[in-house]
Amino acid sequence: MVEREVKLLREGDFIVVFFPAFNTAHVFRVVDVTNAEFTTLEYGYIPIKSGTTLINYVTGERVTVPADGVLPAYSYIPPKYDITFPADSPPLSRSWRDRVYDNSDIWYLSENARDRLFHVHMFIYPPIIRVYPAFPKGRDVQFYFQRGNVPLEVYDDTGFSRGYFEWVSIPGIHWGWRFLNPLNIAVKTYVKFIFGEYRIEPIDDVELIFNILTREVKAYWVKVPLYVEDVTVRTALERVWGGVGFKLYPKYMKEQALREYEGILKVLRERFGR
Amino acid sequence: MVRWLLTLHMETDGSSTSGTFKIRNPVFYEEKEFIRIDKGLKFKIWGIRLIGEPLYLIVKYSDNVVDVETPTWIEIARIYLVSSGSLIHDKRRPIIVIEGRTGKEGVAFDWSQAEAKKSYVGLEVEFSDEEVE
Repeated sequence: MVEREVKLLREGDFIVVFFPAFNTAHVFRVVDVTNAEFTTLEYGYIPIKSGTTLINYVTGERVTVPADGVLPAYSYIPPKYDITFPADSPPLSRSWRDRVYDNSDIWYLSENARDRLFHVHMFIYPPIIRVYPAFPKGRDVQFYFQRGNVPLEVYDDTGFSRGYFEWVSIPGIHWGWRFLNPLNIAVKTYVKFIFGEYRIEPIDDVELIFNILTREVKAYWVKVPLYVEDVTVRTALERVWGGVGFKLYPKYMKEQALREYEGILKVLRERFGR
Repeated sequence: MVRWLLTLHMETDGSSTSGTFKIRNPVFYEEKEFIRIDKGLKFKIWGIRLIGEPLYLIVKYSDNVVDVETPTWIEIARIYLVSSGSLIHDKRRPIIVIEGRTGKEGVAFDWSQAEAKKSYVGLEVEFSDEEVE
């Protein structure tokens, strides 16, 4: 059990997707929420196949996954095996293959699905399993201590959560996941998602955007854990939403911000065909 | 905050008067004779059920179950089922708490019987990372 407030948005809410690496954010209005009445996805085990080679973080030795979905004692998933959640059965009860945008990742949205956002709360069982995101998938190091001095791995003393992560799925970009079993016992895993599939639209008012980004107006903020420049993310954001978003300015730079925001909003409108 | 509540199931082998329990739970893919406590986690025993023939349940602690082949164990509790039947020990608060301070701590469970017979142990336990009891 992970005790968290699981917040999902409703129609009319504003969502801010914040990118610390760029000091920018994209801001949208939630137009509607698909399947808002049914927000739970009982996915199944963590999709690691029997026979996969993982690493024992205590000894550094290789360990073999003994059965589908089982994390061996002290094992963790290295970057080259970043996990996504495929449309296969199992873990799903019924295959969604060839119905989703990408069979290897049910949370992936194609670049054309730019008016969609998945807002996902991921729960991993057993809940003491350490969770480390990779954004984008395959990125070696996601977190650092002291401005990049210390790169953090899932087996460090910080830089992970246990049994839970909240994220938004951005069109054109895969998230990857690393998990670590801290027990000396191999465990059978399970993944549950509580999610919202939002149809979004740009906010057609630069002053309102500024007020949201200066926290004068209430909005739900989701921070993408990207703290250093990443070309893959920048390129994807440019293709999907026309850029990395609206720069965060202090209140006393309102005029400069609004001038800049007009240009960004114009491109964003075009991307949304407005 | 993480809380993982689970029931550990163990049984004597019926042929030895003493031994170390193999620990089972449906989430475990294998049986092991001890549980390691990750750094920053607390391991709490909330309830103890002893069922069957008389036995001592001995709770053991080690501060190094990771680096050494044979850890040194220290007895930290002993619960006695005096006669055939059952004993349920539940105080509605943790009976035993062990903290993971180095990531090398572990807990194990022994039995001791005057006469080797089948007995069963159920433990309601919790892993948590909360700062306050």
